[in-house]
Amino acid sequence: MSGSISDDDGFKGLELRQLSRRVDNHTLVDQLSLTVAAGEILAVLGPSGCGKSSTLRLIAGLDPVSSGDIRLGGRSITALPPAERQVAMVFQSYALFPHLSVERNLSLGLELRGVDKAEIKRELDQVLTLMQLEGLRQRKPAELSGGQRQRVALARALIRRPALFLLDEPMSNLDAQLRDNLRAELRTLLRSTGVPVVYVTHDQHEAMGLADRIAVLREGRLQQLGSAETLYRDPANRFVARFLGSPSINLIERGATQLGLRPELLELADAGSAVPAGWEALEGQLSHSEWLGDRVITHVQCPGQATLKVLSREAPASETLQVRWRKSQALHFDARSGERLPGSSDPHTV
Amino acid sequence: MRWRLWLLMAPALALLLAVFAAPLLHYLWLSTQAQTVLTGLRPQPIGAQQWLRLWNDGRFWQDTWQTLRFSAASVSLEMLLGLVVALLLNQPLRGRALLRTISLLPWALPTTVMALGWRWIFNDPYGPINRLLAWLGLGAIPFLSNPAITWMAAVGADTWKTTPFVALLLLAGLQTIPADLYEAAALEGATPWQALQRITLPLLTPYVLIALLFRLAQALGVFDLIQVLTGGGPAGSTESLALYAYLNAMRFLDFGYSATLLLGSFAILLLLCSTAALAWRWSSRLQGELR
Repeated sequence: MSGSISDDDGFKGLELRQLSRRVDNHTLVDQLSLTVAAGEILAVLGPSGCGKSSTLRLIAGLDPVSSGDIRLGGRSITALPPAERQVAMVFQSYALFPHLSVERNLSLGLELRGVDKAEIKRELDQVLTLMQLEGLRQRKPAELSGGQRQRVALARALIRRPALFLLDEPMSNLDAQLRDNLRAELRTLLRSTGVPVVYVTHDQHEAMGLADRIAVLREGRLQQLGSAETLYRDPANRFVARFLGSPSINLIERGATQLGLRPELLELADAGSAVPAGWEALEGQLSHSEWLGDRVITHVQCPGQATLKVLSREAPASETLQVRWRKSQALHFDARSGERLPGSSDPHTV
Repeated sequence: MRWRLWLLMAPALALLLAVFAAPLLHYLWLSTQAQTVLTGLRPQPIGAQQWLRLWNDGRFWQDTWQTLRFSAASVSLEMLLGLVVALLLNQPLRGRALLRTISLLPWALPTTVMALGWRWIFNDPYGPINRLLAWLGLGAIPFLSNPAITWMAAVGADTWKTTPFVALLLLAGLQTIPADLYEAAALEGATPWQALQRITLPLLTPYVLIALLFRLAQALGVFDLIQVLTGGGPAGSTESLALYAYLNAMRFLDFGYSATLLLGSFAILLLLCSTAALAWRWSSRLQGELR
């Protein structure tokens, strides 16, 4: 098999090299290369159909690789069956075994691997305590709440002491409040495993709140890989710029170029105000505003533009408004290709 | 309020009374009457005499044994083969829809027609099997004339016809099992064989028991296959309870005793099927609902 000594490149994390998956004439994952260090959480972010779940399934060994290599702990695992990859996965549906109790759901993997009874009991007690599931040992999955099922799914992954942790939208079946509460908890838990974690999600808040780095995918291709801050402030293209941030980035048409401006970087003034040096402005009509409690999103309709969103502390005073921004803070995109153009510096450093 | 409940249930109750309770009560009554050629086919009360006759009737007990033997053998074979076929048809194969249709054909065939077909296949010495054996230089098998073999021939024909039914039910069950359970099991280190044991079979149990219930009820009442294939022979060695009751009514014109026989076999059937039904309820409670 693979994994001879000479094959070992010394990298202890997960590495994808030019990973592709094609089905018929459709490319689901296209030449994807990235690394995830041990103890690092990488979020794979993108809209549905972008190839993020396909990527996860390739890493887990559930789908065959068309080309490229998957390396874990310095050796190739591309040819190994799922059982031999030491990979644990939390499914979106949790995929708990409905006929088995919580306890047996957790212990099945250890039983199948021939771990002895006393050892299984020790591991069970430890993980059940960690995940606060002691009281639910004998319950069947159907008798658990959504949050409890998620904890069981996580516990089942943890108990195996995997060399790699994969999570496929593990929060998407939970309600929003629970999701917010769990984010920090999950981050701490995943960090504590000390193994690479790949976390697939379509939710930017989850990605930004949980991950050390984020890989944005679109149509199977990697758009950008970096920290949440880098992706937000210095996006590689229009797709990344639009996918991160809420409310989403404003795009101002300027011939063959589009200016990208984050709603919080726009300022409102009365129409006809003098525009300061180094600033640019558009004038338009107030469309409506959304009051968020601490902030207000003001929608301004400027002629020839999509409605601009301005995030500010105060609601606008008049119906006709000037929307202005520092020239240096605008991102420039090619209007046709969406590629980032030079000449736009980091918008937050003036 | 309560009378309204009964009013709403009345149509269903009336139907059940008419098609189920009334004939049953009539048969109970008939089993206490002598109604034969000797009584001019008019019922004459004779109390429990026919029940006593049933108890001492060697042919009844022999037919009970033969019916149970036939049912046990054919139903277990059908369950086993049905499971194998269902597992095969559940695989992502090319032309799977066509295979499913083809595999259902034996079940769609009228029993009389297929029994006639099998009678020819089993014919000694002109049937295809014996012709093949003769061509190979082997002796003929007396499929329909040797009591030790004929019941197995009947089991074979029944299995051929009814395996698709079991396969269809189990296939429906297999398709309710989410694919990600198998993926999770594979990641947990389960081999396909272990996944079958640990995931598929436990989750399929309710469907297995439903199929078992249906098949048991049908097999215990087997009539047309036996009537056409062997006529109960040779020497009554394949006669089923239903066939015996039929002969009493239609050939011996002993309607009272036929009713007693039917009720006797009904009791046996009820006992076995309710056991299976209880097992089914027990297992579905055991398992809880599927996610």
